[in-house]
Amino acid sequence: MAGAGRRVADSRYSWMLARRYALFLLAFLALIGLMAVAERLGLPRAWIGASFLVVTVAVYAGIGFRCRTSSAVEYFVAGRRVPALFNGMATAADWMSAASFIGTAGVLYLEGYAGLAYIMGWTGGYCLLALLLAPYLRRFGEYTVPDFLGARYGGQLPRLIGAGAAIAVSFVYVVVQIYGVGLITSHLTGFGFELGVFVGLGGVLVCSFLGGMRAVTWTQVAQYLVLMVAFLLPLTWLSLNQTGSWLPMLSHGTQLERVSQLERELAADPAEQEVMSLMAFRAAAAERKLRDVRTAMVEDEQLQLQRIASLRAENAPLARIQRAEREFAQRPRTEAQARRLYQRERDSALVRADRLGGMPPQTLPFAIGGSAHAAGDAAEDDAERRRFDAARMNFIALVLCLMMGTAAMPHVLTRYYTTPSVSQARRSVAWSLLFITLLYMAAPALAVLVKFEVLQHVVGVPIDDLPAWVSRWSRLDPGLVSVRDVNGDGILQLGELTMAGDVIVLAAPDIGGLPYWVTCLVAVGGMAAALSTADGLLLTVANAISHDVYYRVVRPSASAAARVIASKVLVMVIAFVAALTAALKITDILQFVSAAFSLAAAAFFPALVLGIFWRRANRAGATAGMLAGLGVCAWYMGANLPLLRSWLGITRPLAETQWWGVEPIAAGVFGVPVGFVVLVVVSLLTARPDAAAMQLLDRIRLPQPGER
Amino acid sequence: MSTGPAHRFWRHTRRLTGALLGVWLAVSLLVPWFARDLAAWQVFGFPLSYWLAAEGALLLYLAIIVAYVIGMERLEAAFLDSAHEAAGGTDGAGPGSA
Repeated sequence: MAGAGRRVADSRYSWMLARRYALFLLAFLALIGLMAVAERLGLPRAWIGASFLVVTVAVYAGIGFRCRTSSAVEYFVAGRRVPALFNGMATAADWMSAASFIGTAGVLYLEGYAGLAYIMGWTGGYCLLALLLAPYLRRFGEYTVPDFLGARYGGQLPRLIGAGAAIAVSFVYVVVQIYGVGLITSHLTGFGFELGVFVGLGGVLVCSFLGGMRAVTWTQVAQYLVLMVAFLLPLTWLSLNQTGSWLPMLSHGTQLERVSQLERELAADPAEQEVMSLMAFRAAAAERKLRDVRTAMVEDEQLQLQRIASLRAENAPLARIQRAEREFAQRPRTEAQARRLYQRERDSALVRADRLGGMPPQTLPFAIGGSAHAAGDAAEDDAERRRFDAARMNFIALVLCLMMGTAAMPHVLTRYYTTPSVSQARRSVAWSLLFITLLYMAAPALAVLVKFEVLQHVVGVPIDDLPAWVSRWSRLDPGLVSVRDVNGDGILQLGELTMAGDVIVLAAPDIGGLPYWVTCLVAVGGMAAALSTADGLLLTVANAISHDVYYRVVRPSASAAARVIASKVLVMVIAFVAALTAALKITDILQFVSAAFSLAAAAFFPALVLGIFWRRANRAGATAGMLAGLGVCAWYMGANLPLLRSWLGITRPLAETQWWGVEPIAAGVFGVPVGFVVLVVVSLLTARPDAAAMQLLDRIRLPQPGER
Repeated sequence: MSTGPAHRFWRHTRRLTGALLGVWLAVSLLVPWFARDLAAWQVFGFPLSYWLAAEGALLLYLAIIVAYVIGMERLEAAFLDSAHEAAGGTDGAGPGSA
C-alpha cells in the first residue's frame, strides 16, 4: 500500500530530524560547558557574551542558508512536510516571544496572582485553536489565513480586511520583538542598542529571506531548544541552591509558603511602614503641585537653582553638581510636560505608599496593590469588595481575550498549514501546548524563587553591603533597578527597592549568585525567543502583502516564482521599517502589544469560527462582523489607553469611558461578541452563501478519502 | 435530513467539540471566579487557587486537546471505513449530505 510506504518514509524522516536536533542540543550544551570553563580560566566577560551571541546567531543563519528555497510550496508552507512533533516545537518558539520569555516571570513577580491571567490565557487559547480552527484550516490547505476568508466568503473585501488586520497586528508585534533583541544585545554585550538591533535583524533576515517558512521552521525548532535550556538551567540551579529539588515546577510550593511568611513579616515591619507613610506624603505633595502646575513649576525651578548654588558653595563633588545641573537642564519646559511629570511622581509614590512596595501578596487572588483585606470598617469593606469584583472581572476578561487572540494570531495559524496531514495538524497542536506549558509552568516557579531570594537576602541589608548585581543593573539603567534610601536609615526596605519586570528573568542568575555565563545563557535564550517570533511575524506580514494583496487582488496572473520574489523583497523592506521603528524606542509600544491580541481576536475569531461551523455565514455578514468587531475594539482602546487618549484629546474620566471597569487591554471581550452578533444578524438579513462556499465547507468538514 | 455517514460524522464531531469546549469554558471561568474560596485548600504545598491557575488549568487544557485528538482520530477512521463500504469506491462525502 502506498499509505504504508509513506508512513515508513515519514517515520524515517522524523528519526533523521530527531537525530540532527539531538546533535544540535549536545553541541549547544558543549558550548555552554566551554563557556563555563572559559569563565573559570578568566576569559573577559564581554568575550563570553559576544561568543555566545555570535555562535548562536551564526547557527540560526546557517540553518537558514541550508534551507534556502525559491519554490512556492517550500517558501510559503515549508513543503507541508513538517511532522507534528517538530511543528509543535516550531510553533512553541514562534509563539513564545521576548515578552513570554522575559516578561511573564516579571509580571508574576510584580503582580502575583494577577499575572497568572497570562499563563492561563496564553495556554488555554490552544484549546480553541485545536478544536475550532487548526484541523479545518489544514484540510483547506492553502497558504494564509486571509486565503481562507477569501475562499469561504468570496469576493475581495473579507480577504482584504483579513490581510489588513494581519499586517497591522503582526507589524506592531514584530517591532516589539526587534526592540527586545536590541535591548538584550545592548545590555549583555556592550554593543549599542542600534547595533544590537541590526545584528538581530541580520539573523532574522537570513532565515526568512532565503528560505521563507521552510528555513524559519527548522530554525525555530533549534531556537525552541535553546530557549528552553536557557530558562530551565538557571531555574533548576536556583531551585537546587534553595531547596535541593531538581523539579522546581513541583517543589516551589515550599518556597511560596516561605515567601508568604516573609511578606507577612514585612507588612508588619515598622521601618517598612515608615517608608510607606513617607511615600504617601510625597504623593500628597505631588497632588498639591498638580492643583497649580504653573506655580509649582516656578517653585521647582527656584529650588533646583538654590540647590545648585548651595552645592557649589559647599564645594560638593563635581559629579553631584553636574547631576543637579543636568536635572535642571532637563526640567519640564511646558505646563503639559510638568503635569505629566507630577502625575508620574504622584502615581509611583502612591504605589509605593502601599504595602510590600506596591506588590500584592504573591498568592492572594485579586488584591490591588499591597492592601490586604482590612476587616472592620464598613465603608472600607465595601470599597474593598468593589475593587475585588473589578479585579476578578478584569482577570477573567483578560484571560478570555488572550485565549481568543492566541487562537486568532495569523502567524501561529499559518504554522498549521505546514504539517503533512490534518491528523498531524491536530496532534501538533497538542505538542505545541505541551512545549509551551513547559515554559509557562517554569515562569511562576522562577518568579517565586527570585522573590524569595530578594526578600530573604536583599531586603533588610545595609545599603552599603547590597549584592553587586543591584548596583550593576541600576548603573545599566535606573529604570530597571533602583534603590533610594527614603527613610534615611541606611538599611534597604522593600519599599525602597524598585525592580522592573524585565529584570527578573535577565538578572535571575545574578540575583541567585550564579556565574556570569548563566546570565549570558539567559540572554541568548531571550534572543532566541525574540528572533523566532520575529521570523514568523515578518513572513506573515510579507505574505499577506505579496500573496493576499498582490497576487490575489492586484495581479492574479503572477507566477509562483514572482510571488516568492515579491515576498522576499517585502521581508527586507518590512524588516528595515520595523527596525527603524524600534530604534525610535517608543517605550509605550508595550501597550499596543497587549492590544494586538484583542485586535486579532476581534478581526479573525468570529469570521473564522462561524465560517467553519455555520453554513449560513455569508460575505456581507463576515465583512460587517469583522469591521464591527475591529471598530468596537479600536474605539474602546482609543477611549481608554492613556497614550491614545492623549493623542485623541479625550478628557472624559475613565470611569465614564470604561464599560464595567474593564481595562482597555481586554477590549476584545467586547469586540468579539459584537463581531459574532453582527455577523449572524447581517448574514440572516442577506442572501445565503453560494454553492461554491457550500462545497468548500463539505470539503473542510469531512475527512477526504486517502487522508489517513 | 439525510442520515448518511457524513451527517453522522459531522453530528458526532460537533458533539465532541461542544462537550470539550464546555470543559474548557468551565475551567477558564470557574478557576478565577472561585479563586478566593479555593485559597484555603492546599495541594503540593500551594494554595489550591494559585496552583490551579499556575499549573492545574494548563494540564487540563492539555488533557482537553489530547482527548480531542484521540476522539477525532476514532471518528475519522470510522467515517472513512463506513464511507468506503457504503460508496464502494465513489465519494461518500458528497455536497448536501451534512
